[in-house]
Amino acid sequence: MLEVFFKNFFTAKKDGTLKYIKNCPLFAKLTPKEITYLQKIIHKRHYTTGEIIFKPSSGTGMYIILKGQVSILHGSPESQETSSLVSSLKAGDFFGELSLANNEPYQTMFAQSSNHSQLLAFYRPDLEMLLKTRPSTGIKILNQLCFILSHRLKKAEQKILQVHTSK
Amino acid sequence: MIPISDTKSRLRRLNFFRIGFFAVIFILLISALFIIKGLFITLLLAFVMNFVLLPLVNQLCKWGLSRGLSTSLVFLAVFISFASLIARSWPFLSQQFLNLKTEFPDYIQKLTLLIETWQTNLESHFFFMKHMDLTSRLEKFLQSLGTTFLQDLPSVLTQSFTILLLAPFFAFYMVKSEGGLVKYLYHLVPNQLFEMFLGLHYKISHQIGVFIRGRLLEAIAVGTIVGASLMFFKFPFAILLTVFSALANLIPYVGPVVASIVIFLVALVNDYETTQIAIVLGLFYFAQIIDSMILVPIFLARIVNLHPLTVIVIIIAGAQFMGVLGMIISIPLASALKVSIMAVYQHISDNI
Repeated sequence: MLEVFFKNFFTAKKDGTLKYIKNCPLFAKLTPKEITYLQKIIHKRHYTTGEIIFKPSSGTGMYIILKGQVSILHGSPESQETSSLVSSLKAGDFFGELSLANNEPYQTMFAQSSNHSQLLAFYRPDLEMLLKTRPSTGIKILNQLCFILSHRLKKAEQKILQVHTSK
Repeated sequence: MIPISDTKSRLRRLNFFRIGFFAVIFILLISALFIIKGLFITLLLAFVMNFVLLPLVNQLCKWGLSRGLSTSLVFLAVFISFASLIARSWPFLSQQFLNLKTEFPDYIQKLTLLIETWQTNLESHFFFMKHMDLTSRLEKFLQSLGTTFLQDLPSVLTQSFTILLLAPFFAFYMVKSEGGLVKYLYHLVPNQLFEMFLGLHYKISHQIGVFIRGRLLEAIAVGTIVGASLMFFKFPFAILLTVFSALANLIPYVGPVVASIVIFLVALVNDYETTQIAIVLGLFYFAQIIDSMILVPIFLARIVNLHPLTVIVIIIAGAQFMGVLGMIISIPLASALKVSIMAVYQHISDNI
């Protein structure tokens, strides 16, 4: 009876989140066993239309969109008339991974839920805990994070170079 | 882009509902802890077991074993060690309990005689002490204490047996699910407070874990030194006194003083030589020095960091509410509260 009670209340349920975690590049190198474990510690959060997911200079987590749409905006959530839309993300996309790499809140933009959305959230404290309890899994995620960041840096450098040569 | 003013009132309502629901669940859980007899102690013991065994289970997980298998192996190993320890020490323990029961009236009589002698000596120096009648007061107190203790012992042992059976079950699922109950409460936390709540949960869990393991290590170290010296001098009730000293050490400042007084009185009543008493008490305080100069700075100073006066005030408050148990658990609770307040303050100041 206790097992049934604890299974219902405490353990992760198979709810279709697995494929979203598998498809996220950050978790691409994890084994199926590690992904199943990650599913247990990752947080499913619900956001209503217009709800702010994180503000500029705040936020310590990355998000995978399960349902709905999320807008990434440049500016301030308090004066949205002057804010500009950077990108609109849909189910399967992920954002906020930069904050996993930095100890201080890093976000330069803010994220807002465009409609009722369901997100999977993975925060820096989760990653830190993972590095302590399952270092090999944590290191694989960090490696992928480095890979994503270096790829972006390369792209940014190419853009800077393009701007520089066009001058 | 959705104007924030459109959603603000809706979000406020939703968050108000979530916080309200969270508060109701929290209050219900806390009430259940105090209403259901023995539940609080069972969960407290399970909580302590969870924090003590968690590093071992995590280590096995690091080596590639599944969570379920790691938890089962650790609990099995602990159960076997505990059972063999009880089986080995039970004859001595039960004998010492029986001896205590039969010898307790003699002890009171001897102690009363001893105090009577002291009082006569003191009265010759301080005349105002004649009206105090310390001896009869102390005799009454000790007799009532002894009767209560010996009468309550069977019911305490029966309750402890139930707790000792149930607590490992709770602890097993706590360790296996890695703080499952708190994770269940995650769903009730509003989104804008979630990151703070998560950070706080990890931080408090870490601090409390280090604190509990540190305190137990202290108790074991003090218990070992005291136990060795008591057994060397063939002290009566050596095992019981060792367990008492180790447990008393869990109560900061006050516990060690009480334990040393009890050892001193037992030695006096049994006519031990002054040098033997001095050596035993010396070793007792040597254990305390090792504890406060080596173990506390390594394990606890950074975690609790409460002023000694604050500690004493907290212990008195704990004793008022929950007696001896309150004295033991008030310090970890106060340190958890301190960590929480500091983290909330940090969060607020960061967001201003």
